[in-house]
Amino acid sequence: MQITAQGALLDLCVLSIIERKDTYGYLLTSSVKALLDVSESTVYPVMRRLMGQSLLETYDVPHDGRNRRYYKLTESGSKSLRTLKNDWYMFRDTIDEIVKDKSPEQEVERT
Amino acid sequence: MTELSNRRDYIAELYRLLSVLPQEEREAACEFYDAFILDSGDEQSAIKSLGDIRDLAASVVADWAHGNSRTGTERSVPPPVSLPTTPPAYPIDAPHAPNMPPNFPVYTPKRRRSALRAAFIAILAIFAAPIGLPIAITVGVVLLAIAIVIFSVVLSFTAVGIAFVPGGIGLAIMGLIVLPQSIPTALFSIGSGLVMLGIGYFITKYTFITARFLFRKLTNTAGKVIVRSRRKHENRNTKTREIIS
Repeated sequence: MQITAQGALLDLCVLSIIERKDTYGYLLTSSVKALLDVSESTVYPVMRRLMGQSLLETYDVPHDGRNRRYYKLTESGSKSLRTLKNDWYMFRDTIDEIVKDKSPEQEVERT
Repeated sequence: MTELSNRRDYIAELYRLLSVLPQEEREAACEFYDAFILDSGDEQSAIKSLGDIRDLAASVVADWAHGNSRTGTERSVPPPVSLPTTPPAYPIDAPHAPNMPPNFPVYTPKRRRSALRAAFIAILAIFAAPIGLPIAITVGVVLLAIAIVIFSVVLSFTAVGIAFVPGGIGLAIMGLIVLPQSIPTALFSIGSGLVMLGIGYFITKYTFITARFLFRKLTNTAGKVIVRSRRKHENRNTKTREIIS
């Protein structure tokens, strides 16, 4: 596919996945990779950046004799995700309008 | 990369490669990928899926540098407008460039230094990319090979040309020797000898001319390549100097 998730769109995807369920690095990386056809090295920088912006925080859960680090949304993470989602819907609708052959207005004009 | 097929070695190597990062960033990245490999349940294939470790390290460094040049050290501050991905082109001290929105963030010296560091690391990353040197070596070797080919062709032509000279002289002398016995044979022999001498002379002469031309072309090309790459380096250096000063 020529259209790829980058930048804010990738942020949106990562935040959405974590919103659904707190998750750890490996699971997150593999789910993003499975869905979006990005390489393994793509996810870590995104996480790091989101952490740096305090949109994500971590907590440790004991697992197999060590701690597994889970990521969850912070307050501002949820807020940022809401904004991003709205942006995305608007963007999607705009693109749809351009791309679809017949917009409702055109139909009206023709009749 | 057989020697990096276990987690400990892989992470140790990653840690080494990330030496340009601040300690905190370095450890965070190593922890993340260590946990990644552990959680995968299959070290070998997890390491394989991460690809070339240098690419991985480069992506961590590049992204860190990029993020730093964008928002400076105060990364938790939400950006008022979408920030440029590179430091602004206008002088740092100017409060605002004329065509920038009024709430455009001013780069304070503190931020500037960190942006500078990020730019510096980006430049280092470019130099560290394992492309430049092999290309330079390849170009050099190809030019050398061409020079050797030209040289050997010239050498063989010269050898042929020079061989014609004593041959021609010998034939002419033999002609002179047989002159008392048979005048037609002698004339034929002398004539052939002189023709050979002439051919030898022309082969040698034009071989030299062609060789000189080819070598001049080759050295010109090599010179241009060297000058161009040096100029590129100088450009890079002056850019770096501009950023630093």
